[in-house]
Amino acid sequence: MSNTRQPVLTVENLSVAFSGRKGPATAVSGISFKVYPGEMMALVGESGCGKSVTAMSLLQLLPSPPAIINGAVYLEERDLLQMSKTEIRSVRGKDIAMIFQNPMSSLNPVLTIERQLTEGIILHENVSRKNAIQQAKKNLNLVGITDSAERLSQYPHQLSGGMRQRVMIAMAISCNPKVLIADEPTTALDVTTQSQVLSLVTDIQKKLGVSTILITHDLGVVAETADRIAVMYFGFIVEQAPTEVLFDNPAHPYTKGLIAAVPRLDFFIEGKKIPERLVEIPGIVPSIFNAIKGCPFAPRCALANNQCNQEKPPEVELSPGHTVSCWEVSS
Amino acid sequence: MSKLILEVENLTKHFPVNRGFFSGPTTYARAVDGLSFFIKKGETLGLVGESGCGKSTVARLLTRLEEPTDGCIKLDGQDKRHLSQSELVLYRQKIQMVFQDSVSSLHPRMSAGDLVAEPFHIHKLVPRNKINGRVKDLFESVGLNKEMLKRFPHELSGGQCQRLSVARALAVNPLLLVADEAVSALDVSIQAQVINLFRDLQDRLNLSYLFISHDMAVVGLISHRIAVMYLGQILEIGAKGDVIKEPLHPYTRALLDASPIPNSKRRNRRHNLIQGELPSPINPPTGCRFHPRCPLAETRCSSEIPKLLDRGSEHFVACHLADKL
Amino acid sequence: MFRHFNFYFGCGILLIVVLASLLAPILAPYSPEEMFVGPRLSPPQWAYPFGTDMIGRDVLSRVIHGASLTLYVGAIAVGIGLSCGMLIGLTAGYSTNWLQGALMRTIDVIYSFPDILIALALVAFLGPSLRNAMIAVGISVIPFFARITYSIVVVERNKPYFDSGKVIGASRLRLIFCYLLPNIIPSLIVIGSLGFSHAVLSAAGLSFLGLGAQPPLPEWGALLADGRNYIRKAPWLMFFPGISIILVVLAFNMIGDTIREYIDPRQRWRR
Repeated sequence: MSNTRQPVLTVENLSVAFSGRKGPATAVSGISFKVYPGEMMALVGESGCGKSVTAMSLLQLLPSPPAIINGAVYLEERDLLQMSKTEIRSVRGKDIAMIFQNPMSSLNPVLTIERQLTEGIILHENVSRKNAIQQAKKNLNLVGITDSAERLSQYPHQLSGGMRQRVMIAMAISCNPKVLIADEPTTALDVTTQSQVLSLVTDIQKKLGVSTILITHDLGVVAETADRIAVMYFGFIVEQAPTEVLFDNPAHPYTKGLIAAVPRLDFFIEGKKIPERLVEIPGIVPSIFNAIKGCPFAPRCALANNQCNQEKPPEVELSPGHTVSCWEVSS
Repeated sequence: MSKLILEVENLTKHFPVNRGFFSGPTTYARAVDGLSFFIKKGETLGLVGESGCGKSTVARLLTRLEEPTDGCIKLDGQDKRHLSQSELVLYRQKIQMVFQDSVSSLHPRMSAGDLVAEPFHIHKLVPRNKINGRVKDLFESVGLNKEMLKRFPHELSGGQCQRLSVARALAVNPLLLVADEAVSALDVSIQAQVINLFRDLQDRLNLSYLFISHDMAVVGLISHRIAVMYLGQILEIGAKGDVIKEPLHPYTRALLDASPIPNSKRRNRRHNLIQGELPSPINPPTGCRFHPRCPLAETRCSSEIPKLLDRGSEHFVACHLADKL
Repeated sequence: MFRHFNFYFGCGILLIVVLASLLAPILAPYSPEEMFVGPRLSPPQWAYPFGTDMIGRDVLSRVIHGASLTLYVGAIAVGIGLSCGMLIGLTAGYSTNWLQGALMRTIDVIYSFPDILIALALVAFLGPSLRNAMIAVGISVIPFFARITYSIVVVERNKPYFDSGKVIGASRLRLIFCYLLPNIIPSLIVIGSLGFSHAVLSAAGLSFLGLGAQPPLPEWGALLADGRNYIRKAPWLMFFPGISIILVVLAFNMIGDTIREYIDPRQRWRR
């Protein structure tokens, strides 16, 4: 399976903290994961778990003070975190591309679509403007925009939300990147548009062989599109597994709680009994200013024992590709 | 049959769209166009639709934040169009609303305790010395700790703010609570807590809800009946089990199909995508408003507006082709 | 830290100015009108720290006595402008009918004229005197305050918490006083302090042109006017009143900024 191939992106012990007046706030605490060629890897978690910070740190997009970044991120052989500003700039947009949640704020409102699509191509591939425009038209067709000639001369505000998201995807793939990072790409979209965009992303992923890191809080989305999932909580990865394994055999109490807490339609469709109450995860996520001793989920976990409160659980492999950080499970 | 708390007939709201300062409004955005539905006592009607379909406008019309252009709203038997100041105050004791953005729908300079006490001061429902006691009771019934009394909205989490909004709404003992995307902005684990809270309160207090959301799964969980809205009109309305298991309208089917389910067996499934995007409410399509995007549309669909008809067991649908399915 | 420095610096200057205005008869070594206390146009020296002017009056004494006039002018002008402007802005922002359009378009028309021109016209109409200058400046800044109030009101009343207040049954009076006002006052305080400095400058300008404070009133703008012809020979005549104006303007800006931060509960939390 995936362990015979070489990963295209390896994140090793990445931690991100922000120095502030109240002391350092740790957003990400020593996470590690690998992304293999052509696969869709999802980082799932609720708000504040550190998934977006992780994504931004991969491309050195966090301003470095106040961010304190440790660890390594290997794109094939090179460590992205050690690169100089010029080096990382040649990676951005070319080897690794990123799309964001709100397409309106990533598209320049005063530039035409043509300008924005060709900018990256001209910058990285050093071709003439005419060639770049041809390439841009091809990319627009690839993302399902058929009247490409007309769209090129338009401005972002003339397009609908779904269109803008497609344009952003077209921009991202314009230089054939190896990795695409999608940070909550469909959170702001309607369900029908979301369905279209997700279909598109998986389509493109298969056609171009791009590895994708999908960042989202929506478990339904990851179940239907991702190949592998890493569940994050409070800056830690608590569980990692291939999608089927994660949903059929969730190991970590947080993962189980999360899956049980999501309202789902398949109960109706399969005629199962609809639960009277959703299973709640009691409490709230702790403040990032408090350093946590022991397992970060322990305060909310029904199974927590003394060891959980004192020591952080190590990452243990339950089956090939399925790792979990939990004292209860690993014993 | 249980009592009808709310009866809405032909509710219409057209917003004038200004073309310039000196020329008057030349076109109208038909945000809500001829909506009719009812809510029984103690039941939840889920109103589901995508952004721009007009569901928030419905919430604003029911709570009298906007006045309808046409149509009639009958709340607890009272359907007078123009209410005097005192009548409006009484109206507001019967229907309350919980908003989507919990933090910014609370006055930033009022403490949590003050926010829940305010309705008591306005409506003079209990003697002044009893207000604090009632506030504490309400806090308890929504699961808020008493030490939150002095905190301000920006010091509370999204879930806590939403509980606070519910406590504030319950202070006047309303008959109907309108929840306008009340859980959409919350994290999954908090969303579960608040959904459970809504259900508990309904059981305890026999409240009726109009639960507005774009999320079919949430609506399916909390509602007794579901209404599907598109571009200002209701396309389908019926018991929750009927609408979700046997959707009669192509749009409902598309919505259900597009809703992601956390089930790994659905990976790489075939999506029945509907094309296009929501048209503007300023110039809605003729005939059935869904026809430009409908995979089954016929010529009849672009000229004749389908009526909302009962297809059996109070499952209504507005589609010319519902018979054929 | 930096913010606190601003505040203390501003307060410090204000304190000096207030003390100067209150204790002028004690602090000033000479009477501001007394002529030939020393040689004419003598540069700053031990006996006359700010020098003397062309008829031998001590500049330091004149500046000290002028402090109270400056504060007086600023306060009255801002008082008139802020109260009338706020009323107009609040009415226009809250109403949803023809009144809103009528009020704001009128304000816009007046606002399109530079306010100093309006102040000039009013003073010319009323007759030159410090009192008329204050009234004129006050009236000339009404559109400024009206527009600011209007835009803040329009933004605030569209916010969800305002809707929440309506739905809960709050009366119109309650909505204006408990919902709108507490949220527009912090901005108005900052704008007010800016207005104060602007009023001081405008009044000084009018006095400089001879239309405000009439001689021998030692209002700082008038002092600037006095020194205008001697700018080469005796620059201290303009320097000290000028610096005083600058410092007072700076002080009010700093104080207003800090007060706004302190009053806004969200900012307070972030500190």
